[in-house]
Amino acid sequence: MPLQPWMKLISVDDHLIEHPRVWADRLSRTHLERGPRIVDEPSPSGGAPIQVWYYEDKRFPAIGLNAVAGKRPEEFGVESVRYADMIPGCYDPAARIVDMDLDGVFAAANFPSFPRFAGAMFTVESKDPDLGLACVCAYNDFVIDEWCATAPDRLIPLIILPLWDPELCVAEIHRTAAKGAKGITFPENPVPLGLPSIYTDHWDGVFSAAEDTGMPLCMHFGSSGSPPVTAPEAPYAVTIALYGTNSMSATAHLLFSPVFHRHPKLRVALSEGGVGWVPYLLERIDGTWQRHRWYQNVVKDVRPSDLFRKHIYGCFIDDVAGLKARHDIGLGNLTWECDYPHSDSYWPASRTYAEKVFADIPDDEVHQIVELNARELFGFHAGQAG
Amino acid sequence: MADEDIPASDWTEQDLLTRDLADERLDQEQAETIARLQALRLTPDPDPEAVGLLERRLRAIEASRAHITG
Repeated sequence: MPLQPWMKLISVDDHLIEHPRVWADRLSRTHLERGPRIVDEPSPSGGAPIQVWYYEDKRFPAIGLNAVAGKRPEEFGVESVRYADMIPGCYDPAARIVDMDLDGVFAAANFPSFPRFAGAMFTVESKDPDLGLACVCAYNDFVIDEWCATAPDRLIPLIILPLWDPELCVAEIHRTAAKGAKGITFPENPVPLGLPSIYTDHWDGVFSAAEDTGMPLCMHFGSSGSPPVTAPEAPYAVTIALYGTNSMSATAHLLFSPVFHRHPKLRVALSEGGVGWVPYLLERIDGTWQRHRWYQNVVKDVRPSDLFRKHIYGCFIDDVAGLKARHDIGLGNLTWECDYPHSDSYWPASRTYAEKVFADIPDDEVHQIVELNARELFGFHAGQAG
Repeated sequence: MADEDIPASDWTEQDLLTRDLADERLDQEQAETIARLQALRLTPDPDPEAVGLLERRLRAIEASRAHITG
């Protein structure tokens, strides 16, 4: 059994649902009334009241709470539900640890839900930047001081940024690093969010701060707010199937941009995008660079695939193609994910399932993929919690 | 089947594990664990460590269920 009992599974891509008092407990009186708050509303179907988020004067019924209580996948729909319908592990860190124990998962990094996967909610939806900044800081304080403090050796703090102001981002990176943050969520592409691209020097201070603090940028697919919608009539299944292409686009941008040349210590973790596509894309990007770099504004003396292996990590739950190609991708670039509490996860049998996934992989390679690479990526070393 | 797409402005993955779905999965996990434990106990010389692991797993399933079913 290559996945040995002593190997600790570290999921680099799980999710938390913010409980109703995350912001209420932390915002000043000035901001409290317009900050994120949960409001009970009558159910359109006549059932128990639904719970929805409000931020400033806007209602957000579809973010984080519209779970599909008790339904099978063929019945998934759009109606919001109540916290009481969710499993407590979604929003209660103590319950999360119990569920992780059962799942055989030792540690996990969690992405936000209401703030969106890279915290863009407070950039895109804030009319009041002071309130937006207060909400960003409150989320980060929650995730470090409350969520991860429950089990600092097992929960890896990922922060969000006030993306509308790079100087504020830099300050927040240093503030949170000082209190134990381990990773920075960042959009897979800032442009669809109305922000400057990574080809500009707009983000240089942010990327330098990430280097200085040793924190990776964690780019979850979909965090650009630009899902791969290919036809108005296409079912959502098409978008779900194609989401990994967002990670492919992020990779191409990163490898052809000046980012890694200007920031040689910067690391990027691509979340939930799978890895099976990596060998093809690197071959294609290297080929393009080989033939076409002379007349384009790209760095001409460093092969893009070399940049990938130095700077970019991918992750997967089950990716047979990716595991077969693990040496082409780079063993040091692979991490494992669980995706709890989404129903894509194999909870409560993630470890059992991982044993099958890794059945034909040598022990030392499995250990590297499920634990060691993640520890290195986040600076999350055994016995050095927080 | 849902008759409309989810109006998500971000990839928020609507399909959270819910109490009923989680309870179903726990039922399945419990049944499989009990079957493995029974099979192990029927062997001539059951490994006490392996038996202990499965018994602990059954307790962990119940601990998780206590959270989930309230």
